[in-house]
Amino acid sequence: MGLNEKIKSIPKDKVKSVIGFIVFMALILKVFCNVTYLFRNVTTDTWRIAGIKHENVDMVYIGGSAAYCYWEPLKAWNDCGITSYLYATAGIEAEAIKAYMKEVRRTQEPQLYVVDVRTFQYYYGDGGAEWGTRNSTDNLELTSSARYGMLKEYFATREFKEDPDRLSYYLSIIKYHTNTENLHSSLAWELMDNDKVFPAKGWEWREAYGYVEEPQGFETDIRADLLRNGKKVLIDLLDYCKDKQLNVLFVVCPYYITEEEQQKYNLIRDTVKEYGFDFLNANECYDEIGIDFSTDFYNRNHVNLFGAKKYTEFLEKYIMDNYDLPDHRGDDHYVSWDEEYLKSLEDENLCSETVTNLRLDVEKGVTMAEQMRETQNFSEWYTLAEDDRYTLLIAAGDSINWPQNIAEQRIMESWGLNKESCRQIRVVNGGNVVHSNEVNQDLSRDGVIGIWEDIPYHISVEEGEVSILVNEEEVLSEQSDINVVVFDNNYRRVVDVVSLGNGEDGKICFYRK
Amino acid sequence: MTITSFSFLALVTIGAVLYYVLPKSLQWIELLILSLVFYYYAATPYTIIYLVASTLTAYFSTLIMRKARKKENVKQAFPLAIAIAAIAVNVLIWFILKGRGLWSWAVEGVISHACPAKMDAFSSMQLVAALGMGYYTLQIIGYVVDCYWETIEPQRNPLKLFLFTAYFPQMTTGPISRYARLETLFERHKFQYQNLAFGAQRILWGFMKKIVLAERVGAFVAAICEKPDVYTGFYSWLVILLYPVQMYADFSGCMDIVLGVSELFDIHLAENFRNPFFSRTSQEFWQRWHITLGTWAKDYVLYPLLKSKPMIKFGKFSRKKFGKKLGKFLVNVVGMFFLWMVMGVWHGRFRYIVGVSLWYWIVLMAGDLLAPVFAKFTTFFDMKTESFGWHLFQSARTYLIYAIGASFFSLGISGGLALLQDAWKVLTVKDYANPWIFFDESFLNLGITYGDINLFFITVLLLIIVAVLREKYGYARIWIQKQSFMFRWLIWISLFVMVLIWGKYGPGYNAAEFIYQGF
Amino acid sequence: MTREAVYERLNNVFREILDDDSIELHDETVADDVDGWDSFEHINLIVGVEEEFGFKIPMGKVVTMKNVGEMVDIILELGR
Repeated sequence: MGLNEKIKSIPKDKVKSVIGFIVFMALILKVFCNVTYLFRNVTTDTWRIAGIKHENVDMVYIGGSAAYCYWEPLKAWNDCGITSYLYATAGIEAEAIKAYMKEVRRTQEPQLYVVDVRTFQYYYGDGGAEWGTRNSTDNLELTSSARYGMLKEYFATREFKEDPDRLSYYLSIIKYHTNTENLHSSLAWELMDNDKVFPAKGWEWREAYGYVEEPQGFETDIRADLLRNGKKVLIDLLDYCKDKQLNVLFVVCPYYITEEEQQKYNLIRDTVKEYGFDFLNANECYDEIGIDFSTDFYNRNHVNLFGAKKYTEFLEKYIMDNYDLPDHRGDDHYVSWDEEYLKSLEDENLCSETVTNLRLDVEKGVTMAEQMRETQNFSEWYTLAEDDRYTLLIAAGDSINWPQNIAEQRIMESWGLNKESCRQIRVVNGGNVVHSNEVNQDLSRDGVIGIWEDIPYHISVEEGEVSILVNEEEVLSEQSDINVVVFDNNYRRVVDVVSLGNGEDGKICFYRK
Repeated sequence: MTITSFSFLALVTIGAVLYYVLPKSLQWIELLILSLVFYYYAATPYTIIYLVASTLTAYFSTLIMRKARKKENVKQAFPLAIAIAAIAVNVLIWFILKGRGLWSWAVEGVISHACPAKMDAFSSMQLVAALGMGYYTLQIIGYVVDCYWETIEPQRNPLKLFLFTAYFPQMTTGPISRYARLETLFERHKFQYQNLAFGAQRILWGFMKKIVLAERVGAFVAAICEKPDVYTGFYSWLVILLYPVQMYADFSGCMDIVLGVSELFDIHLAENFRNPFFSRTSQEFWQRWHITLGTWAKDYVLYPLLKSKPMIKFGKFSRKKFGKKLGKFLVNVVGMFFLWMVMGVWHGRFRYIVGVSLWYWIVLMAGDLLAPVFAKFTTFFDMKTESFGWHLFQSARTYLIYAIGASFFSLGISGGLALLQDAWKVLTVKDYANPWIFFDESFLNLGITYGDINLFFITVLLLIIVAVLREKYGYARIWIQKQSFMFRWLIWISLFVMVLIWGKYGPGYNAAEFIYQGF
Repeated sequence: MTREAVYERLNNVFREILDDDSIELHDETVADDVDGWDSFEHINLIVGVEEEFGFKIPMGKVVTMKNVGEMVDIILELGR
């Protein structure tokens, strides 16, 4: 019997039911995937990762927030005609870099990969990376083998104290099916098929500013090992890049770097160079970039749009000098890039205005502090000091002077003090008491203040004598009365120290030592 | 590995594929291997020796009986003695391991008097029972008795008999299968698409009952029962009325999974439930609830007892002495007592003896006694006893009777009593009732949301629809099968999504864990 | 013994024990069709049949018989 006859001899209803079965199973699978996409933890990262399908770019920038906050693809387009995309996820884990490369290769053929290696410096090799790992993998297609490869590597190389519930990573609906909040989110519904164009090639304008000092003394020649399997993960990545003959530039972008971190980057540099890949630590080129930490950042780890602009200019020059990426400007196929660039200029103007205003607002704290130090009037002083730019460290010794003036009493009362208050400690920010020893009556308090929550302070009222240390420096000691240290949260320094005494007419007079 | 776990589903899927790919002569061996794998992951592995022991007693006793019967000079009583010995061994193993709750108090009493120092040693000496011990022990006893009655031929291959004991789908929650029905285990099975479809559908429906409904109600009931001093009044009523829903959804949901899994292998197990809440009497209820236990007790306990010489004599005597009606009643009293004791004791704890044995024995006997009074009542008031309303009333009454029994075996004897007392106060003590709890969002403090409440009503409604279809068409799925493929697929896909989203499983999502912590 | 003869005697046994003269048995009759035929009366009926026909019905048959037809088959088989 020939094949044809054999096929003909199969009963029709059998064929029908087999086809029906296959279609039904495909439907079930599709529904399963869509439900998983709908319920996963949807953020702009999800969108950014999904959006690359619609692109055709020569360069892909892979990394965490240190990628998508730093590189402006549309600016690079306008400056040199480079087509690039930010394939990045907040908190990306080291194992995800390779997975992301694999995933990118499904839809793109980039001539250059730029990989931000900051995640290797953060690599602890333990199971504490659930958030970053889920974030890295949730965004990938459920049908992507890279997704499962990354999870396999993650579970194989890390050390877990508790059972990490592996299955809920692989089939993430196990974790997310209770996330019904997503049903309120239009973005989650739009990403239900994991497909949506991301405008501006992965770039977002962030309206944020924060004052950061330039890091000092981090330069070093020492090489420090990566933790646990960190180096193994890096070498796996390099092996992969070499094996697939990819053109990769490994970068570290400017941020508030420490010496320990620089030591690790030195090791990463050596390893990368051994494999013949290029490595660029932008923290060694502040002058060349022209970066100004006091204006160009929004926190210690991320630049704002001004910083991004400078960094992009710096990196695109480096790329133009060292790589041979085509200039597509003027090419009819890339008209949309010009349109998007023009549109992004409007957004940039808005964002730049906002960020500048935010910075001016922070800077206003300096003039306010000057006014504060000049005034002799307590109420006037307080209207300045209760601003949320400042944290007030308040400590009352044994002998206090309670004002007669009602308005002044109100202020004291708002700190939770009264006539009999002694040996009291308060921390007040923007008029809100954030710490009080009223209940437990502890006679000393240690904590941290400042926008980066990194400046330690110590307040003691033991034996009724007040002493206050900020950043391990004594600002006040052996004081009775009620004492207030005013701390500027943004610039993270003490701007005024006053003691409240009794003046004429029952009003407070304050004095400074 | 529980039957609602992913690993179980994976095992079943791989098992089912192999089953139809392997040569058909190996099918029963594959089932045996699957059963061993399941046992290894689902139970304390070494306890499988108890299954082996039970199988061996049954194997040898039945073969000895058979041999003895062929010889002519062996006494009639010999096979009986063998059967009794085999049953006694099995009951004893079960009693020591699984019936600990029934005897440990006595031993503790003796120890505390004799040598209190040994008390700790006794309480720490917890022998682990085998998985599914209650179920397979009854199966083995049934097998020995069937052989003794010569309704079946003894199995000559001990491995096959072991498969009958340890067949994995029914290890956790039954049903209690008869050997005659399970002989199909050793036959060759051809692949049939219908088995695959029906099996998978039934598993899905079971998951829906178990992880969408039962787990939800269970969490709510548990939250109330945690603080019986706080949650009183109508909360007690809620608990009483929700227990049966929870138990039905849980137990019958597991049964659906078990029967569905077995169906994949073309092994059609006995049904354990037939819309129990449609029953009009408690008698009928137990013919529709945990059916295989009820029929087991009827066939292997009640009938032999009633047909024993002393009982026949007692029946004749009491009919002569007290007349036909009362005489019959007395026989019922005795017979029912044994029947219900077996049903209660089998659960292995005193609370079941109260909640099942005594409670139902009393209810059914009282019902029997008062039947003429009820009959007079309905004729006097001209009740339309075939009307829907009357049927509903009867079903509600049956439901409540079960709910009361369930309070005992869920909360223990004193806990159940306290719950019922509190519920009673709602009816009898003025201002004790707190109906506002249904309206002031108090439920939301018990760890549930409006979504959960809606879901409860939706799933219960679905259960009712399915039950009605089942009464009408034998199975709801047979009705669904008759629909056009689009509607059919819509039903199954919706059910799949419901289970996927609303099932209670996995670690749960907590938005706070996912707030950007990258800085 | 003919099937009809067995039925005649069987009807009498059932009518006597269940106190119901209207009983008319057929091959397909099952317990649910007859008022009062419950688990308890089942055994009484079996005992009545045993006495009527003068032989013992083994327990295995008592448990497995599905309807009256099977009961008649058993009687015919045992009465041979």
